[in-house]
Amino acid sequence: MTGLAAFLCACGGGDPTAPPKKDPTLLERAEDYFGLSLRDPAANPMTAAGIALGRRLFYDPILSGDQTLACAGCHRQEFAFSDGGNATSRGIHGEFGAVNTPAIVNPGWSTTFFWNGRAPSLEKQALAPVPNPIEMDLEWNVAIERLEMHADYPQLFLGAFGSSDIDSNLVTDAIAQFERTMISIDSRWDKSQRGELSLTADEIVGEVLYNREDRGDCFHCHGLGPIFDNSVVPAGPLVFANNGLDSSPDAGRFDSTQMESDRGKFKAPTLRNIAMTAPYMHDGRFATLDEVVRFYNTGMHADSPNMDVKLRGNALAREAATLPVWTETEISQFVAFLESLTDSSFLTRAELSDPK
Amino acid sequence: MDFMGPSLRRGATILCVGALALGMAACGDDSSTDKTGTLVITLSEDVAGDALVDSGTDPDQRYTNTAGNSYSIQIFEYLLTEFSITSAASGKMAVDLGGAHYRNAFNATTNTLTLEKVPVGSYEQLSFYWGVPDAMNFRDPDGRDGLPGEFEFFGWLDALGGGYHCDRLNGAHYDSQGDEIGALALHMGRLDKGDGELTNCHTQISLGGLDFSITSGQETHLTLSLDVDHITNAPVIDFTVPAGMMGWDMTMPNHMAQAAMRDNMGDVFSVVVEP
Repeated sequence: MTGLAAFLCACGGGDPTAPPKKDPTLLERAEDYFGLSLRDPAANPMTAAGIALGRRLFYDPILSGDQTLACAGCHRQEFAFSDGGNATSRGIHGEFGAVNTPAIVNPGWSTTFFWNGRAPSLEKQALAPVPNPIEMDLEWNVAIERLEMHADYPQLFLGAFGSSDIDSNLVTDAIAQFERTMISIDSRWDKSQRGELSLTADEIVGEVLYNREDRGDCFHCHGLGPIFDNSVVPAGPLVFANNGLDSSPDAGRFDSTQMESDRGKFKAPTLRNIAMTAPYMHDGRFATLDEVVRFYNTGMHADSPNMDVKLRGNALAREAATLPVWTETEISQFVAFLESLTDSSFLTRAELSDPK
Repeated sequence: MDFMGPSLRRGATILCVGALALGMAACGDDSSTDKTGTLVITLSEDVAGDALVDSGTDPDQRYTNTAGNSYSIQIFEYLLTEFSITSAASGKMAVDLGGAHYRNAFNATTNTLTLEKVPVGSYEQLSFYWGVPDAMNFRDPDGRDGLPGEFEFFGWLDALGGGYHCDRLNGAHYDSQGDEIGALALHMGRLDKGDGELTNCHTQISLGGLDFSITSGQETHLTLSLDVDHITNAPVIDFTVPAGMMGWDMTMPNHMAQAAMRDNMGDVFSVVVEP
């Protein structure tokens, strides 16, 4: 049975006279682990054909103006589908974008996409980069013509959607189906929860620092395990936050909502696989996790408008020496905990790689 | 989807006809026999009668509590569970909320909860839980949680007893000159009192003296109001009182503050039956 089929329907082997025993699929394991079903819209149910088509499109530069850049050109699997090492990403004309390419990890449970949350679904998110002149710079009508003229795509769309009448929505539907298979639940931390291994003493202390309000207080914005993603609930106030990066912050969520109270707020991403997605922040300004932690320790700008009050309170308290700054040991312990959220199987899973 | 084979369907038809002959309720889908209506509850919050405004919308908005602390609010969110209504005729009955209702006071998409299939009748009391009752207030490492996984974001730290927050109120408090003293985080959740016994933050709220009716196929509207000021007014909570690393302004590990807020919850809510 292929890996793709196994994602959707796994069957174990064994005694041929016994009732068939089904091993849980990765999706079933994830839904059980999270206690939350995948957000699989009724209008775009996942199918093997849809996922396969989406995977092919994700890796195909046909969707760019000069046919040199695919989605995977900036969303690289070995970097948890971020653009490893690049603060912002370069489009087909050599221009760099304004924001760091977000990683794609467990997107099937998220409800909001882009740093400013302007897309409420994976389908809507995938519509934007193709015609963006500083990204793939291809008008959708031209992209559709190419796909319709292609030797394979009409049949692939027919198989996936029952129609070879291709449009942008079907393209992004397929890509979204593929992206929903980007499931990561097998990090060291996850395995420790299942009793398969023990975290190191440093990793354990690091997790305490993640949770303590007078230390990291990270969990309020970046979520508790196992989901580690507050964006599973769109109405929560801490899906987007201003962490005091700048006294005069970039617009952030304001660009999406036009509400002054959202100025300077950005989506707090999941920290799963965060060790693989450097550099950090919406503009990729921090090269290492060590720099990120030091920023939160003593680098936040407490005068930033709309800054999260608890982060500001901690920043002010550290300035006033009423709250201790992190020690070098604590910083390294915290980084160790973040590194324990790396799922190496996700970074190398064949079903998520280039199909060609 | 047709789930009955031919022989089963014929048998069911005979049963229905027989039931009619006996004068019992007809089988099948007949809306005229629906004995339920819908209860729509609109949530609203204020601060001692003043509008609740978040500090992002109005950075100059200030409130003053009973202790004389000046404060602002940036975030206010909470969980409500286990709704029930009581009538003199039939007593208390639960109305299915399907888990918990999450309310973000600054997000209008969360301001309504709709309880369907509520039995028709006249009712005099609305009850519910602030927070999550013990039977649902847990999150286990093996994935078994008292609430669906989407409530993970409202989880209470395992180190402090696990389960879920009852609420999160974040803001800042100020001195008499208007300068910020520090952050305000009035979070309620489970705590170890120090003797090994875990206390839950949930509080049952019962609002009686009401007079509302549920009519078949109709909606009945209530407005459930929460006065934020009452959370800190009796016992009086003073944000400036220190308590180790965290005072009465950062309550997660402060059991005394937690207990005081919980004691206050009894008169935080009021309800109005809408015409």
